[in-house]
Amino acid sequence: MKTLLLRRWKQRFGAWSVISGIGAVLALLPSLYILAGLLGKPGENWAHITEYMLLDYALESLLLTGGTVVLASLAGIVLAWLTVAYDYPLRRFFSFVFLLPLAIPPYIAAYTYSSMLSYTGSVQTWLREMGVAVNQNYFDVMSMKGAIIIFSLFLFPYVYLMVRSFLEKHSASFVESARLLGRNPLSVFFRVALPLSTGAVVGGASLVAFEVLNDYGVSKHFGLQTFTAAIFKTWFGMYDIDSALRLAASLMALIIGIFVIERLLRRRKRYHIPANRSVPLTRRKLKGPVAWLAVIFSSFIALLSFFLPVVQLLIWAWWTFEDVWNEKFVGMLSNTLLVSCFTVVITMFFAVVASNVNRQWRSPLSLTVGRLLSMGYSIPGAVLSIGVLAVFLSVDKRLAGVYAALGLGHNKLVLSMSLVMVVFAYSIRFLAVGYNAMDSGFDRIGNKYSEASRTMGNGMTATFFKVDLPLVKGAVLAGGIMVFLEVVKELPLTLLLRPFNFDTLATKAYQYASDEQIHQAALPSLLIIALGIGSVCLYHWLGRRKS
Amino acid sequence: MAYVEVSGLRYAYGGGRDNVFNGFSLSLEKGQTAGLLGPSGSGKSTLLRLLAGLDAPLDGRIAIGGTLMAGGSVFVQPERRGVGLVFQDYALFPHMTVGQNVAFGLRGMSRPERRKVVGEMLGMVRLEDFAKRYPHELSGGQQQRAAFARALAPRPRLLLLDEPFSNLDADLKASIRRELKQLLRQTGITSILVTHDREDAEAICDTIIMMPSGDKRETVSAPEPAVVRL
Repeated sequence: MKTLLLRRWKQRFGAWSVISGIGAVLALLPSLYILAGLLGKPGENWAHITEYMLLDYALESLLLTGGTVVLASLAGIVLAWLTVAYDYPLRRFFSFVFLLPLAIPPYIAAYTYSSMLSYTGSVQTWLREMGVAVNQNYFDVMSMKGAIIIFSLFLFPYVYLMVRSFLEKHSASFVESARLLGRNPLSVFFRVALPLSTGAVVGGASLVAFEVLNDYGVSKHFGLQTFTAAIFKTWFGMYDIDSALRLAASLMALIIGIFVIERLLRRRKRYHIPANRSVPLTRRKLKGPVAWLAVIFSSFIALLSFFLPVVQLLIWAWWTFEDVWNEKFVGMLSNTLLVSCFTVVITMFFAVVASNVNRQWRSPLSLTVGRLLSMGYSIPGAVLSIGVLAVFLSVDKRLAGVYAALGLGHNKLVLSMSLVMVVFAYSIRFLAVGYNAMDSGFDRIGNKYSEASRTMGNGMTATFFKVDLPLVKGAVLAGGIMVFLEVVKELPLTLLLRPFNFDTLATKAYQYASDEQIHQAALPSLLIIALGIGSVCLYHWLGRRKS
Repeated sequence: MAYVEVSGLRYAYGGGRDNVFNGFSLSLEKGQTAGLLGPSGSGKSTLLRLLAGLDAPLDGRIAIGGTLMAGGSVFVQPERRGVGLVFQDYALFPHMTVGQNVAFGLRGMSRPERRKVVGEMLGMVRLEDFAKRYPHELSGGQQQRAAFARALAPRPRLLLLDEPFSNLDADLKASIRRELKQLLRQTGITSILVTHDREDAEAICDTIIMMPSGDKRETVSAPEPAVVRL
């Protein structure tokens, strides 16, 4: 036993595993600090919070998340099935356009829509000019219902994307079997395509849930009492970090609970669906009125989830361009790009190392490391920032002597006031994005090339640069792009952890919007969307080139 | 008139210009088992898909049991053709039990009737005791028999089998070949079986249709394929 362990150790110990272990420990630290916070003495406001607010926060968060998950999944599944199984005019155009809402962060959509639909907004003004009297109740988006609709409109692509790629790769022979056995299209969808896609739907829906739980912008703008909003309130309103920490821990417990339930529900129906070897699904041509119905439905979704808000933002940006575009704005733009690029480099470094280690060893330990590294994405930004802040404060405390020796003065907070903290938090939160991209990249090439290289006398590092990297560079690029996009859109983490006077496009847009300067918020918002569209296009193109 | 009639068939992948079939014809008598033999890429599986209605020909006629399935402005959708297909990877629905899979194609029947047919079918392929199992809990040979039972349950006019032996171990092959031959005889169904192995075809089929080898675009377009009657 002992010799076996020793042998394993010799086989596996090396710079690669050490780096990946360090990454996992760093990624885990903030969560540990949060959970440790539960052990300490509760803060002064905690009794008040648990008595009067906690249940409301939990219910409101659950309702918002649950409602969005259901509505977004419905839209994602229907649109995926429509574009995979049927052919109708403009289908290829729509199947791409349905990805674009991902470029619009929900908080931008929220203030765009609420302003568009307000009494003085473009929609009601236009209707009045047309002589239509409207009931204000129909235009009130700033409610729970409105928030669910807005989240669903802009988050459904997560479900759409996963279900579409599942159906394209795996469903052909099942769907064709069902057709040959005499089933009509509806029955094929409900009896075969839908149940088979359960895994993909759950995957996409959990991304939607994480996004909603992470959100701060929408719930703040609409005045919803969610967990994240509550954390902000206790942190910045009551200056009670202990209670904020406890709130964060409760939310984490809620999320872990959801994970466990999902596992239990699916335990009895686990099977592996192999990729189809046969031809992809032949699309059935829709004709006549049904085809028009498909076009109208697709256009409706595309308009609401992309074109309308973008056109409105373009108009506002046109009105306010001179007001907003100045030297400070350019500085802020470069800030955004700078932190994004730093984060991409750090994230992709750890993602590449950890996924390479994991695919070589495939041991329970390396799998656990992989899971830990990708845990950050399921922790809402506000929760994670509290953990990160706690870590950095304690590091600063420990380094006080060093700071004093360097002549920086006593009791100085150096790291926790710097960009290092923001980039660290980003990296933890988005490591999952990079890691998953690398994991599937390595999965696609398999181990045989690197094993061949190892037997020819190249070490792990030489093999990586000579053999693996050229083969997975598409995955590195794709992962990097996704991380970049996430950082550019990120709001709650940045708001909580940024150094004084540091603004990104996202925080600036948010700040304008919360100061009721909605029109001024259009320009930074549009830049975020443009960067997002660029990333989505590049990603789409990379995917095309691979297949 | 023959039971299965294909004439003047034209088809190209993805609407491209390179024809897979260019004026292809074929006829088959009722109750016959035909083996479609040829190298990979010669269009065997494509022919099955055209017969099943999963793809539409550019031109030509397909008639099965005296009914025109494709030709002129007629195109009958796969769910209305009454053609059974056993897929190469079986395509047993993984979220349904074997019994549910077999019952899937049975509609317009009362519950007891359906249960009776499922029982008969599973009995025929000797899987009575496996009705409640899921496909991933069966061996390769059992999966194939289940797929066979599922395809036969709705009593199709024509049964198509795509490479039925490609997923099986070599030492199982002989016994499964024998079984399949017996099942086809027993049901008396007209069937077409695609294979690249001449031995398979000779062991099971009454007729062998050779898909010409070589450059597929030129040779498959030969109007009359070589037909060997055994």
